[in-house]
Amino acid sequence: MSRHLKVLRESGLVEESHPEFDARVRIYALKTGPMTELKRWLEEAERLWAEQLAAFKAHVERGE
Amino acid sequence: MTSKVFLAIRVQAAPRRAFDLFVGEIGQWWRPNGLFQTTPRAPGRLAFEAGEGGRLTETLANGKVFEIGRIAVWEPPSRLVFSYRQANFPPDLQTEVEVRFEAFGEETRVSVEHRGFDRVPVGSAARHGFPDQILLMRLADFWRAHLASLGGLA
Repeated sequence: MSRHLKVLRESGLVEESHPEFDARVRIYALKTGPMTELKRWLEEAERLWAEQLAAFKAHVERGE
Repeated sequence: MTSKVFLAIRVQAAPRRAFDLFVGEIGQWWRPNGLFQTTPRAPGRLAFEAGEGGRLTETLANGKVFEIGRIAVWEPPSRLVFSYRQANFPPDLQTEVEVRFEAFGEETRVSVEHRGFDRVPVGSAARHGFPDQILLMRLADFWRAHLASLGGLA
């Protein structure tokens, strides 16, 4: 379990904190920022290819 | 989480012709794109070097050549796979594009799968690999949403 959490932490998807009263306790919280960024990358990539494929189709069919 | 983009379109041409135009005339049909700019400079002209290991390059107005990727799979007229990297990608982000050309009656179905957006690049968490200007817009969205939820609580 802690290994899985380590991977998530290293990839920036969760953040770790300790409560002041007990350093042994670790609190993990999901960071929405990186997830949102990933989603945006994908949305932008999708928009890019939609545009490029439309341009490609126009090019192919213009040259008939 | 899916980390790839998949799109398909049908074009009025046989697979062979679609493949040849995709590779051979990319410099004529590719449209410069705001965010997915391959380099920070004014867009140049894209070109493939045919065959496995061939480069996909962008030649800028000043004559400089930027390598976007290399062809990993060259299977005319049905399949093409190449690596894809933009100048603004973080160093550890490698993506790959697979293009398939399938006969569909008289036409060809051209599909693109762009994959490799698997992770938030380690070590660039502050910027998330985006150009500053874009990141600022994203942060603005982030704070707007947070402030709105705080407002709801008040």
